[in-house]
Amino acid sequence: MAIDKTTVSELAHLAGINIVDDELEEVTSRFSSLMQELDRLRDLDLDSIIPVTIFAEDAQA
Amino acid sequence: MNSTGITFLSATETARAIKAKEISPVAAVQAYLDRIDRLDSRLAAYITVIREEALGNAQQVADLIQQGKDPGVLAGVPIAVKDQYWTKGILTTNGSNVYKDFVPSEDSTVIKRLKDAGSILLGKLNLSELAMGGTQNPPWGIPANPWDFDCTPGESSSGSGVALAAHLCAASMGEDTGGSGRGPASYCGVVGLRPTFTRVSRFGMTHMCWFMDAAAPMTKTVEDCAVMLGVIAGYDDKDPYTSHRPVPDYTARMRDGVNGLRVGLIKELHDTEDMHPDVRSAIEASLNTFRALGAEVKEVSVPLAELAGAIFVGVADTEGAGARDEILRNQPGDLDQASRTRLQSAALMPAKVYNRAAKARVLLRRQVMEVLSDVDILLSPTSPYPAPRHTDLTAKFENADDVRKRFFFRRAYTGIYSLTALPAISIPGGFTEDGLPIGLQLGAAPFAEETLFRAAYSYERATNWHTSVAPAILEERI
Repeated sequence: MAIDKTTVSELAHLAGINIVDDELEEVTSRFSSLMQELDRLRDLDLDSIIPVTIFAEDAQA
Repeated sequence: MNSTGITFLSATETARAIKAKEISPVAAVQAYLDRIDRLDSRLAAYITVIREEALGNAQQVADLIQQGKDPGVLAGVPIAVKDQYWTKGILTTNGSNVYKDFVPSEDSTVIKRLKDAGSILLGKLNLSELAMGGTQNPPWGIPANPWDFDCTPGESSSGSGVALAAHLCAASMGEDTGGSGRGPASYCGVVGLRPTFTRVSRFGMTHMCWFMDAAAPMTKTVEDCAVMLGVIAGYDDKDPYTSHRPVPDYTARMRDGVNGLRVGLIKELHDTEDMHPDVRSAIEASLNTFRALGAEVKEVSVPLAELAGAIFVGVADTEGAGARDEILRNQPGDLDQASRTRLQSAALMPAKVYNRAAKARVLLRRQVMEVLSDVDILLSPTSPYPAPRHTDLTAKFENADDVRKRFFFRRAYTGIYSLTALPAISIPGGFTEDGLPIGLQLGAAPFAEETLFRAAYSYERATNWHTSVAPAILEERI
């Protein structure tokens, strides 16, 4: 997914967040990099996994 | 013993000397207060120093000893804590202008337990804003790494690392969400522990990510760390996630050695061209040390480890942005630019990507737990490189690749344990050719802190890296 300053600006507007012009470039770099890195998770088979926040104390995995 | 000599004692040495009446608690506190006066204007480790209260509390410990009563395991030990822990009646800034007037009405559980054990709080320590990282203009000064003032002491428990390495306290508390305790320990050449997630209460500790934040003892020695954990660990009805498991004496098996212990080098955190060569050499030397001590050393694989930094940021920063929503909307100008842009970018995270990261976290845990059925200890550097210069750390990100290299890469090393809720410790593991400390990180299975301390103590005794003092600190060249 191509992410540019316009996309980030629109997303921020929808989220109710005000990004000042001087910092839009940096927010775009951070967000774009995070999306790129996490895009690598698409290759994993995660369908059967249920997310948890706290792991059970006696869980072996 | 002179004043400077007192401040170079470890926490357990201090407690022993006080109980043996070789030094008084008041003399110990005064020695540290004098040292803070001499050195901290340049180091910026402290945000608040509570002189009169510390001296008064030290006198109370002295009175207990005089009366023949048990003053506690940390009797008269002068400590300091990251300014993220609530302290009743004492300013608690979280390193942010947003909290510049916040004075809690009660102590955090960690503070209460440390006080009950007889320790003396000297003050509150500097940190990166909101326990995040990359703060460009910290309101209470830029903490300087005692080994090179131009370098960062690490994030976010910066003051906790500086104060220890400069001997401005006998022990400190940091906090570790993604490596905020272990990172500064590594860069400052001290010990830092992230305990098993549910081992220590988080009540009264301002949150970054509620299901990954962990109280992090930071100390001059492994023994001090084991003692500190014993004091603060255990169930707390104010934090329902704390474990009911009994708290062992973490020093009991510390001296048992590592003969037969299985140590696994994490392949994915070692086979990378981006690792500093001196760090690589130190890690390889540490493997030889463990072999010489009788441990069985092998290489293990955790395939998702290299993505742990991105998974961590995807999960923890998104949670952090959610928790800081009011601030992001109503007070963004009160935040440092680095915190603001980091939280703003995290606030844009699509739900499906967050969900994928949350699932990957569980898969990572499965991978690590599978490896831990084959080895007792996991080994890697705490950071793939030594402390960066302040200017490199706070430079604006140029592009997405710059973010990957400077932001995600290092976080994989500590994030792997944060994501999986497992205990990990950073101990001094040598120095670069330029004289900067290198941190050795050891990890273990849930609640296996005793095994961690065994391995860490054996390595510490075999190498003695922990006894080194930064030249500028030794000579007080400030």
